[in-house]
Amino acid sequence: MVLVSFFKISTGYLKTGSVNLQQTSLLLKKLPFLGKPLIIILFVSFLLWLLPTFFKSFLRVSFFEFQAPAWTAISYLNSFQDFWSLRSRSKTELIKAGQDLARLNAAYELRNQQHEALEAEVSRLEKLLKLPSLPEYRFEVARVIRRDLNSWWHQILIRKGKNYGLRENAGVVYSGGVVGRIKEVHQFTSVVELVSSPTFRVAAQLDGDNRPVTYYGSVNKILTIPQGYIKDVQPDVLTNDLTPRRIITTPFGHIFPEGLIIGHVRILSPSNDGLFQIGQVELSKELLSLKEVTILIPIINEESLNK
Amino acid sequence: MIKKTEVLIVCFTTLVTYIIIVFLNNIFARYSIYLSLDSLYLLFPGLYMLFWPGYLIIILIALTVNASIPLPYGTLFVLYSLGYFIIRQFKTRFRKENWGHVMFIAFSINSIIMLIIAVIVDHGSFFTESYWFRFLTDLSLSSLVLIITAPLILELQKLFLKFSGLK
Repeated sequence: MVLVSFFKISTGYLKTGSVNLQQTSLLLKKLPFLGKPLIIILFVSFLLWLLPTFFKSFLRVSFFEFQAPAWTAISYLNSFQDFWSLRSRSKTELIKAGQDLARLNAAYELRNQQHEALEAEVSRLEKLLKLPSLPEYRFEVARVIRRDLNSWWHQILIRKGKNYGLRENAGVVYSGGVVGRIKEVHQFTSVVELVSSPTFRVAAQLDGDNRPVTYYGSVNKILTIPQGYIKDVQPDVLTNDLTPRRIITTPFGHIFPEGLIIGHVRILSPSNDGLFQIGQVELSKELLSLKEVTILIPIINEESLNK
Repeated sequence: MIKKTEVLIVCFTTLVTYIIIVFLNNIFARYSIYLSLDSLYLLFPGLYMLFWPGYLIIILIALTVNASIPLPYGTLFVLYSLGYFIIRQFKTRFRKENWGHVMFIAFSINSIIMLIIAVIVDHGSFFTESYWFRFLTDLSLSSLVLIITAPLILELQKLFLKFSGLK
């Protein structure tokens, strides 16, 4: 309506016959109140569109870094709040929690020993069979300071960036499996694209079947667990609604090591072309309320970059 | 001098509003709910300020918000400018002190901005039912929160100006 009335008024002015410079300046002065703001806005938008890409990138980074301290400060305040809420717990509760942790530590200690023995066995076999060694990662734990989960994108902001040597496309995991990958790295913060994001895509495989499938994030409904879907599943693969099959990572993408859980698939159905199967993947509900994540930084990549 | 103080105070309160919205979204994220309340940033500069000081605040807030979301940089600037332009038209036609009018303006502009973003960032899901269902639920919840908070945010900004001694 506004645009239509503006153009009607503007064309009314244009139909006033021959226009000289004096008349033009008069016309500009008499422009209706509708026209002036629109012309200014269109002009400024046009100027912004004309700006070179590097300048826009510079502007974006500057505005991002400008607001980053605010998010970091809020995150520290949250941690402080958590600390004080824990302080209000009774000593009996804390002693009980300590005992539970001691039990867990003992179990992990045992697993560590098994892990070391298995690693030694792997390296022995690699040498024996002259195989290339498996990719190794450095782990960096970071706190989540912001969550943006909507129908357009799913991303979180973490409290570590270039200052901890994080790099773009590094895999991000948590105790339940895959979280996503790093999309942008800033000086003190990084943006992580979640595995549930509609733009996320990664090579995967079904547990117990080493043929690759493609995992995609998808649009998620409110008040439900996050979901994604898999494509290119071989037609002979079977699933059961009662015992869902795990979708795990493959080392093909060089982002994640093999075997990390992405989600579970219950039902597979034939794709449109009939050659493969597709299925909906149920992701963990914890993805929506993550507080801490771990970033996997490939050691080989780091060494080559340092050289 | 008065103008500079006014711009600084309104800019500050708008940034505080932005931080509160992000904080709310952090909490609601565990229920897969997202509130998009962009028109809250445009109301005070659009209804109570002169064109250029108000527009300066809109430019700053649009560039700040756009920096942290994966939309092409400048998209929000154009969308907020459009919203600001529409508010400027309402300014002389509506009663600014009428909460119903303020709610209506906020709702209309927010819906327009959300709809344009939904069309731009569809990721190939434009013709899927789930995409529009999610969009409509987000829009409904955002509108509900918006019509409750819009007059309150305006009052808050007016209160800040009053405390600073400006009319």
